Amino acid sequence: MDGFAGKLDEQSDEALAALAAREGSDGAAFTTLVGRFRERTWRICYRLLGNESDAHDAAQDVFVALFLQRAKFRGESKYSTWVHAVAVRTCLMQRRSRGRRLRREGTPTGADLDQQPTRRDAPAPGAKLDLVQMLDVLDEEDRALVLLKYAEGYEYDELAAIFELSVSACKMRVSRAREKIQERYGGSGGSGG
Amino acid sequence: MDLFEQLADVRVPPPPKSLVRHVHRRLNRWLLALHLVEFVIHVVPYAAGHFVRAVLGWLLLTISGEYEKKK
Repeated sequence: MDGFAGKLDEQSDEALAALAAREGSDGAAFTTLVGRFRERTWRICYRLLGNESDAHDAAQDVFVALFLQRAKFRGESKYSTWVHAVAVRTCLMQRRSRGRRLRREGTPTGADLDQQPTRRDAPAPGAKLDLVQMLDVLDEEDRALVLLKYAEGYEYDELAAIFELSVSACKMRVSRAREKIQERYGGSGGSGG
Repeated sequence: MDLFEQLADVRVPPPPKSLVRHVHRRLNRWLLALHLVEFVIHVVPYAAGHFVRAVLGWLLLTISGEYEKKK
């Protein structure tokens, strides 16, 4: 058994994904993949959702989605890119449904606050702005792009593969998101490129 | 330093130790549901079809004294 597990550990992600696609239940190959992508998936979920409880829930959803869609992976991209794309989509869906729920309950969301006439762009001098809160003025996908780019250090070509955009479209969206933050928060909204 | 690059300094806690266990638990619930759906869609109609055939054969035998009509 140890020998088999050892052999699985030596396999590439793509080879393991092919093995997992043939497994009827969550067998050794899929379990190895869960172990490999646990940390990365958790980081994406935590960055995009901002708290441990939602991230825990979303990370579980990601692995369930990976298992249910395991036969759909065709190997056209790297398996890691596919996992990250599923993680991002799951988190965006969860944030949208959370936003809808909060709107139904009458609690203002980031987007609602964005439309309110009170200006949040004039913090008291020396006040420390919460960077992550500042990103709430962006739409969900742009927020995710900025977080993965700056907080997790993804390159533009990786972002393009995850979000199914061109590299130039990714660059443009990140640049526009930066401009939007700068407009909203003035000098404190970041400098440099 | 670019303010956006400070996002990388926001600490991410380590993943909970129970994450993998919870994944397997949730997956097992899904698999159970999928197997039940598969059972209802495939096995139940198949078994019911066989049962109905047997009952029809028994009725035919009772009425005509023949199990299958001879050609």
